[in-house]
Amino acid sequence: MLHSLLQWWVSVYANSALTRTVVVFCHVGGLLLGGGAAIVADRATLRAFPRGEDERARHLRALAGTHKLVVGALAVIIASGLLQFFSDTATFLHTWIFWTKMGLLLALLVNGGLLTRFETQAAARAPHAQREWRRLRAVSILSLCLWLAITLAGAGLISM
Amino acid sequence: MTSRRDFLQTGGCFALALAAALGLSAGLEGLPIRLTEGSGDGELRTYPIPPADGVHVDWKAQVMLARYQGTVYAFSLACPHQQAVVQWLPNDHRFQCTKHHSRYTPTGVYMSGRATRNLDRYALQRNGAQLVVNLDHWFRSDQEPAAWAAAAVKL
Repeated sequence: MLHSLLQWWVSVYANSALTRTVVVFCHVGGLLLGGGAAIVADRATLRAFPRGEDERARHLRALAGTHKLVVGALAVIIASGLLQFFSDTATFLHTWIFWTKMGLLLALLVNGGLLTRFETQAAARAPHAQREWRRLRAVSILSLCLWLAITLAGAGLISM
Repeated sequence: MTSRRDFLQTGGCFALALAAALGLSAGLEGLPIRLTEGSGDGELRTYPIPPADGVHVDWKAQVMLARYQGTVYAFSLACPHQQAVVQWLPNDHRFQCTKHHSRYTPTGVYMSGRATRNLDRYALQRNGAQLVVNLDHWFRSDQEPAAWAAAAVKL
């Protein structure tokens, strides 16, 4: 049953340019929207870090609004990524770039969890949250690097 | 703030999906595409003769062994167009490039797409119940059409 479904999807994906276009658009569009929003938010965190308490509080409020967009985009990225994976399972499973990308994605999800945790702590401990802000700065830098690294790994997969 | 919960839900879904994908990979043997690994050193790789029609892929050597209507062929895994991976489509009974979707018959003959020639065939010969593929000798259909046509083992 599962094999039949998989073979059906392999055939549909291989034979329908429209299906491939929609799936790839969801993947790249999600990356553009989610990654773009995350990078803007990360840069804003780095800008708010050396500033006063008012600016930091304003940034934390804005940051909370960004998460839903990033999480939603990540869900679309993962779903469309799985559809691409199932279209050619054998190839992806034997490619180290694929596993690197999955590792980076996992790191991004863990980093996102840490980011929201530090953000909550920073808001709760204001105006004495210097340590939390240092952590926020660190995970924001890591987030920037991870989004770019995932894009690089994706480009590598396309070039296979 | 529910973002952490959202995050955990997304992460959980990702983990489940990955687990499902890994579970499927363990069942790949049930597909007409089978993974294989040739034995032997250097450029000569030895494979058992495929018992039935289907495609056997040796990822390490980048070779596809295809048995079709009583004849076995050894194809390069790379599409002649831009060297992307070629995929066997069991439901459609043909090969297709994963990058620009050039199509080939089970015997490696070009059907459509951006490629301009057939799949490259490796030289192979039968040795008892084994097939010996010479990875050092492959044939392009546009440069050596006779050798390309002869690169097959009838069973």
